[in-house]
Amino acid sequence: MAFISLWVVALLVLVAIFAPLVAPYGTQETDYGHQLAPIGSPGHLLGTDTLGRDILSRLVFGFRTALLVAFAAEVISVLVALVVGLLAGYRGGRADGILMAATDIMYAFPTYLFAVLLVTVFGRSFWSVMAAIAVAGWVTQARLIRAQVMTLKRRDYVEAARSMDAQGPTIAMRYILPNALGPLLVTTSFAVPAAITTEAGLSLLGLGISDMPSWGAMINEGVRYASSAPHMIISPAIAFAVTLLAFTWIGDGIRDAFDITSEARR
Amino acid sequence: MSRSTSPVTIDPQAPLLEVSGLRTGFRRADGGQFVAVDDVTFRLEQGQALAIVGESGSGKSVTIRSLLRLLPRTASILGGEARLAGIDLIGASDRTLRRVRGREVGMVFQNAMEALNPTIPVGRQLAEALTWHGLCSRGEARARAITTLGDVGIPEPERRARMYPFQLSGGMRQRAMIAMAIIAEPRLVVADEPTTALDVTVQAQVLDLLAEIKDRGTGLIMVTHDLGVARRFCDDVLVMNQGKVVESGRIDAVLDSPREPYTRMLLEATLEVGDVAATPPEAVEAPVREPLLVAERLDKTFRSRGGQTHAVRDVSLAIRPGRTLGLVGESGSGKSTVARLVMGLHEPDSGRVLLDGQDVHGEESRLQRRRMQMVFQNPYGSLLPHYTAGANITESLRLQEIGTTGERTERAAELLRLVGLSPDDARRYPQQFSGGQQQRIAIARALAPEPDVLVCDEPTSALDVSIQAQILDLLGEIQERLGVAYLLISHNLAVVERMSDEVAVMKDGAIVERGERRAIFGDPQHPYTHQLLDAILPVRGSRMPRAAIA
Repeated sequence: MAFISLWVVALLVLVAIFAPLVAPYGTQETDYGHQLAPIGSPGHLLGTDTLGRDILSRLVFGFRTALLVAFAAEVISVLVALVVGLLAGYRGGRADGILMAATDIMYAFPTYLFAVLLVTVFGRSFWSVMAAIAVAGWVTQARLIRAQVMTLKRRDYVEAARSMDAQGPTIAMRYILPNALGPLLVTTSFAVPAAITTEAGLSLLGLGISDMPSWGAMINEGVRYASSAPHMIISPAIAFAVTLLAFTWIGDGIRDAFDITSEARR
Repeated sequence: MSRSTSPVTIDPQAPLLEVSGLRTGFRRADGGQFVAVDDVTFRLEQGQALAIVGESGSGKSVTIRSLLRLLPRTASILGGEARLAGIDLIGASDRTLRRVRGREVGMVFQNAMEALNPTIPVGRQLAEALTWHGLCSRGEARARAITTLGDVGIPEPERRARMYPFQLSGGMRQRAMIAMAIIAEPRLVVADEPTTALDVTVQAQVLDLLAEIKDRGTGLIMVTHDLGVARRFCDDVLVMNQGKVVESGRIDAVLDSPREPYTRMLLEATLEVGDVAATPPEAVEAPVREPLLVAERLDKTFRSRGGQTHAVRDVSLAIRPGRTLGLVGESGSGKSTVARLVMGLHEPDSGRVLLDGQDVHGEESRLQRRRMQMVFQNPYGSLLPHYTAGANITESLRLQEIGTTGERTERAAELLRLVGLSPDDARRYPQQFSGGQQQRIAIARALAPEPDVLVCDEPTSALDVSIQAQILDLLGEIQERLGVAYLLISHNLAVVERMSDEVAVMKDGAIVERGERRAIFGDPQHPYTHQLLDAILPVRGSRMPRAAIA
């Protein structure tokens, strides 16, 4: 499953990168006279919406948006999590206390509430949506890294490194960090589909990015015309489900690869 | 879970345990089959004890686990028969087997901390072993749990029964587990390395307890790598190697006149206190030189939320260049803390460590500290898993920016040759080596910056006896060639006797006795040193412990 998913995701990523070449029309191009064309209409494979915009094109560009937001948010949240987790886990004591208190406060704050805050202040832009997702993401990952580092720093090889006169930053970066990355890779691979969902969810609530096509916004619009023009909701919903499933299965594959308790190892 | 009371059919006439042609295999990741136990046959009568001895990977633990079918899911029994008082163990249904485990057969594991449930008080765990099998009511079970805890020599059993496993000392936990194994009065007790995790003085008590159980007519199988323990305690022995029984018979006969080369090798590799004393002293005494490393009145207390531990009390040491100081003591005696104070890994509360007269803990200490390196107990854990062997060896040089990349690679190759490995091994990762090879790499790493002092903390405790002998030989050779001084820390008196010029004995954070090796082992003064030496279980020659001879 993970293997097939990998191909699906690779294909989707290629589509996202080369969106202008793949999409038959632009996202705002309207075909007057052919509004609400059904699936399979000539010139519009997946039909058109109420304004006569090509649904396939909007799907392709919508995925580009989702992927961009998800990856950018993940990169930021992983970087923040690494710094906070390493510092808190390695230094311990007061540094740990302060950083973890901050993490807990963030943890207690609902993601969507934070998104509402950012969007109200900075508008419905790519940056505010991405920031909202990143802020929600780093908290759990920082805790995970902290726990990893706390176990790893008691390993014999860290003491061996200290006996060779290695100093704190060297130990943290060269010996502890590389061995803490495995679990991080697993959570990150699950966090990408979660971020895509969050982005869609924000759009569904009308808090998404306003100047770029989004799957959430498409589904939101499709719901309103679900009885009269079901094709408007069917394509984005299927695309959304397939994408999430593919990402999640890749995550499963990565987790199994890192799972030392899995039976095949013996 | 059904708690059927239908009795398992027991044939009192049949021998207690009869095993023939037992074969157990593990499914490999590539689909193949790895045979871990191959054609094992033996017989055990009531009130008898059988030792299964062998090195790690010999299949001794898998053998006894096969009998109760306590195997991982990748393992399966490929053939053979095992009958416990007439009950077919291999063909039995899971239900029958559940009634056998715990009721007819009790198991004792190496690590009581992991084998006992940490969230349930000890007394209740014992009582559950009875009520589970429907042997008696809850009230009776509770009473019997307390009696049995008393039987295994736990003082104040009523209070201790209410305690959780972590609240008991290591020796007491091991007794509690033995109590759990015998509470249902099984016919057979199977013990897997029951004393390996224990200190020698505690080991003696646990073995006495097992002997008592045996005298009551219970059969006993003990899996152990320690021939001394096997000899002290068992009637028969199976020597296993690579899944096969190499030699079997009465234990005295096998250990006194082994027929097979493997058994002979095992016996020769086993170090015993007294081996060194028997050899005549060296003709030329090395000239006595000024001490290289001096520790003066070290004191260290660890404070934590649970209180404070005075780990090291007023310890002073001196090591001469090219000589070895052995530091012996039981777990918790503070010997590892001394090693870490000497290495500068911990700061002492008071006292100082001088290397060539310069304080190791002082401001300009870093240069000094490089002249001391350390070898750890767990070779795999102490090597960086994401670095190759070569990178591990040269890491200290790289940290200190000594030499060019080419020179360091050259040095790694040279050191690998010195420790008996091939320069090609530099490219492999730690997990691709055996435990003994890993320890060789760890020694090579410690030697890389050309230290004057090597601190070895239990360097062979995680290794098999044959590997232990090789590593000790290697350490001896290196000392002769490079003139490195050793601070050797070990709980194993035979290792310390073999390697050391001088010996210090530690107890409760303080050194209770020190002196020349021959003086300590030949004419110990302190009662604790006597106690340690008396607890040694001889492998060769007389079966009587040392105390009985004296």
